[in-house]
Amino acid sequence: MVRRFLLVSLLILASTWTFAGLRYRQSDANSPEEIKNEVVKVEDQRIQAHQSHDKDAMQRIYADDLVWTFPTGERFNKAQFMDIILNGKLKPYVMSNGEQKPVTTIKQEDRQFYVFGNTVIVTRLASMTELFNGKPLPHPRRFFNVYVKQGGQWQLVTHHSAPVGRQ
Amino acid sequence: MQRIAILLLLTFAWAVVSSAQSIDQSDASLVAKNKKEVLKVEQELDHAVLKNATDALSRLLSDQVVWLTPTGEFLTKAQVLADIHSGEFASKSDDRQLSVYGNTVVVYSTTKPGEEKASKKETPSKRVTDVFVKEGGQWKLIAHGGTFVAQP
Repeated sequence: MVRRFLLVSLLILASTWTFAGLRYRQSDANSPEEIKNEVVKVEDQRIQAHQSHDKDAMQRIYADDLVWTFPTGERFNKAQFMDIILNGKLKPYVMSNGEQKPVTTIKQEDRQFYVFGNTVIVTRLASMTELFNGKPLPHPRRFFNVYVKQGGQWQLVTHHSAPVGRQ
Repeated sequence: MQRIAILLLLTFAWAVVSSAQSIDQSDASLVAKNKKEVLKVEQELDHAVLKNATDALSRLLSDQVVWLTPTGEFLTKAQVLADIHSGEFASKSDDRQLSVYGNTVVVYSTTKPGEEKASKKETPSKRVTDVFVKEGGQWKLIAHGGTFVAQP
């Protein structure tokens, strides 16, 4: 009985140390290349989540205080942005034979990754056209996504976009 | 013996609770400290741009900085430093919003309508996103994005 108590106590203590350690040493052990590969995976999952309207994946990937800046300068929080995606208010399209057709594959044009320890910036060019609430958004545009590792999980904390060539 | 064991267990339980509390308290004070430090660096950054202080700006920018202009171009650190003389000047509003993630801080702000230094052309207000990380004990700007607010 006494041994059991001692064992439980030791287990609690060990788990506390492990928990504290994990909070402050998340991706220290990874090389920049490994970190980049982790973020490539999450960024690809994010794009897939948009296309398939996967609410759970979006909840997981987006930080609770996400800020999404459109090329029009409008800003949206997580709930607003998820509403835009899940309710089809943002529609990428291509023109084919004079008709608007939905985009099925999103090209990863000029994608670059910059690793700063637990923070990674992804830059990209997006040349596709998009309708937001039925109105075309400026395009092409360039943007960056900032990922931060929190609680062992990479999360997108901000997206900032600017239209190419617009004065 | 059993009492000693119970006492030990209670001690450990107390240690767990107080440890969790102290982590939260230190998190809160770290967040406040980081916010204060980053706001100071933001001011230094604005001042450096305003005064064309290339050296100060160079010190505040990470060598790998990602700088997105309102015309959708990515500039390198060298291009940003070279461009400082012809860039746009617009004062930022006071309602800056900060999000802190350990040693990474994101600052959101909006500029008032401004004027381009070189052409004196008026520019609309702009949404600005600045991202800082602490590198070697110093806060550095690792990303900057500016987007003009579209006129309705």
